[in-house]
Amino acid sequence: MKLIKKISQYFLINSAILFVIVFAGINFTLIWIISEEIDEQLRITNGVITKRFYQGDLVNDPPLIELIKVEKIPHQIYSVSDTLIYIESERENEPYHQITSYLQKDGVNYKLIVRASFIEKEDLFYSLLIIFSITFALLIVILFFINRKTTKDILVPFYVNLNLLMNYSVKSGNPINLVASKIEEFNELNLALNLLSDKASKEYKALKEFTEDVSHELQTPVSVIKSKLEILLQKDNLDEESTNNLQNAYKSINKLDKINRSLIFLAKLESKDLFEAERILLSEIVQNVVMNYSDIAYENNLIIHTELESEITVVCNAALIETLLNNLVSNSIKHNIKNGEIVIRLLGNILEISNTGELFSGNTDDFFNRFNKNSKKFNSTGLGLAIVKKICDMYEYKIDYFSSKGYHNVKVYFK
Amino acid sequence: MKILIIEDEFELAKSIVTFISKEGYVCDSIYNFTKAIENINLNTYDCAIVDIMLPDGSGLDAIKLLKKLQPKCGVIVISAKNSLDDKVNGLNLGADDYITKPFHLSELNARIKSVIRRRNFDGNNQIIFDKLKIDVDKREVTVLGKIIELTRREFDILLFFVSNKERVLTKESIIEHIWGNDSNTFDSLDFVYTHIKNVRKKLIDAGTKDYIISVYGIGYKFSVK
Repeated sequence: MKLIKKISQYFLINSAILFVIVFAGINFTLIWIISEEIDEQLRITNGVITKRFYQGDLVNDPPLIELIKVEKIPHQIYSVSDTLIYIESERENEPYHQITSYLQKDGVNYKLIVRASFIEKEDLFYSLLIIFSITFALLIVILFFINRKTTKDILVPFYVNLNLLMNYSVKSGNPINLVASKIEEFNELNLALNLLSDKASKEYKALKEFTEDVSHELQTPVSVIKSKLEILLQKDNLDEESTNNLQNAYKSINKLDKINRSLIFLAKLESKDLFEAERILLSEIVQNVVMNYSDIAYENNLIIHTELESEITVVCNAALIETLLNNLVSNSIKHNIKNGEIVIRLLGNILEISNTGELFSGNTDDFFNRFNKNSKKFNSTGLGLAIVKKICDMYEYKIDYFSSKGYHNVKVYFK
Repeated sequence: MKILIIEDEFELAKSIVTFISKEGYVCDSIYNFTKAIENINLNTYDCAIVDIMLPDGSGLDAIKLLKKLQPKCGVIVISAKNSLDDKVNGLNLGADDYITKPFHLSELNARIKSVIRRRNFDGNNQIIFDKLKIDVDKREVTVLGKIIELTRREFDILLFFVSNKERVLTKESIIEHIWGNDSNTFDSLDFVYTHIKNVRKKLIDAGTKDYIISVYGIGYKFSVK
């Protein structure tokens, strides 16, 4: 529920309760005040009529003043009461207040009733109800306009900022530039968010630089180790154990070198400007990559089928596309089964690489994540697919992975 | 042949010298920019291996001077950065080749040879090894005047072997040289074996000795012994 709706809801619910209470209060107070007033009037009238009665003027004017002869005067000679009297012209019973008193003149007893018409409670109730309802309706209308104005003045900047925040990435390194608001709380929030994003961005940058620095710093020692091992390998008089140890050390340094190179490359992929784009013929580059791997596939008893539409071109960096294809094709060879097959299709702007293989055991959403290895193969760096993903992200190509019927399928949607 | 090595990492420079001096090269190792300039002014070289990142200057400036004073000297740029700028700048200044750290010494050795060959035998880029004659530009191999038909891969492998004759070549370095840097992530590196087997058979069939010796677990050695 939106903030403004929630506030309005609270406001309206509470107003409604208040209206009911005030309504009831006013209703009863009015009835009480009016009846008090009428009773006072009746007492005065009763006094005047009584006075005239003793002066010999016997007023009888039903239904407002009734003077009736009675036989006996009861114990209570003065009483106030309510009654209903049928009024011919209105054709209904109307409420009246009356004062009944007993008088005696010349040995004759009289009962004097003085009446005054009393307001109908129902009428009062309905009148009040109408007034209150109209007021409440007006309140809703006013609230609607206030809300609209509030949304425009207060919440629009808030929503703009919200949108900015949703699209913000610490990778960009730029400040968020939140819109200032007239509301103090929102400005404080902006301030806090700006601080937070600055901090996150700085820390991200520091972490990135650290990774890059580490990778670069590692290159020299790795170079030295690699060269020393290579020189050792040239020795003629090595025994079997030393050869084994050397061989394993050499393999490991090669792997370290590969991981490091991949990390440096991944870091470089952060900036598109480093890679000059040109128009390239996709089928040609796919063909070349497939050619490059054909003997390796053959060696692994894999059959590669290609179906390449010839005229498709994309604008991008040729080396990056080659890396992307190299990684995908070499993956399809690596994660294949004995006597398996690889199908490479380039139709329209879609490149699909399918290969037989053991099922991917992890979460398919993690397929392109770093170091997410389906099988622990020694020479695999676990970064190939992360590089593929990053290249796709750079050029905003969509990339999908799914597996079906024993086939792994990767689809790249070029633009 | 005189080779200048400008590399600030002492141990790496030492490895390079150890590895390539077996080829009969005379090597001068220089560890900083100032010394490099001094040496370029004093001596003549056939090939220079230049690291771009030096503590007191840029290797690119050294290349500039080298190209001005000794235009016949071949230049191979070494960079730790794998940056396109370094590569483009280096090649624009007249460098012949570019190699990124860390590299296989055998790869560097093959490149030095290639650069020296190109610079010294104008139009007649040939290698003679025992009974083999390899015309690098024509990509033609002859044994005793008879042409041997080799595939592209087989030719490249043979050339790499001949460039690193009498040395142990690891499978990794061969694969990286032939298939490129991206390709060395396969678990089984045996696919290189098929090609080597074919080269071996074709050479023997043509009447040469069996030059290619398997070095168990490591790789191969191309030897006339």
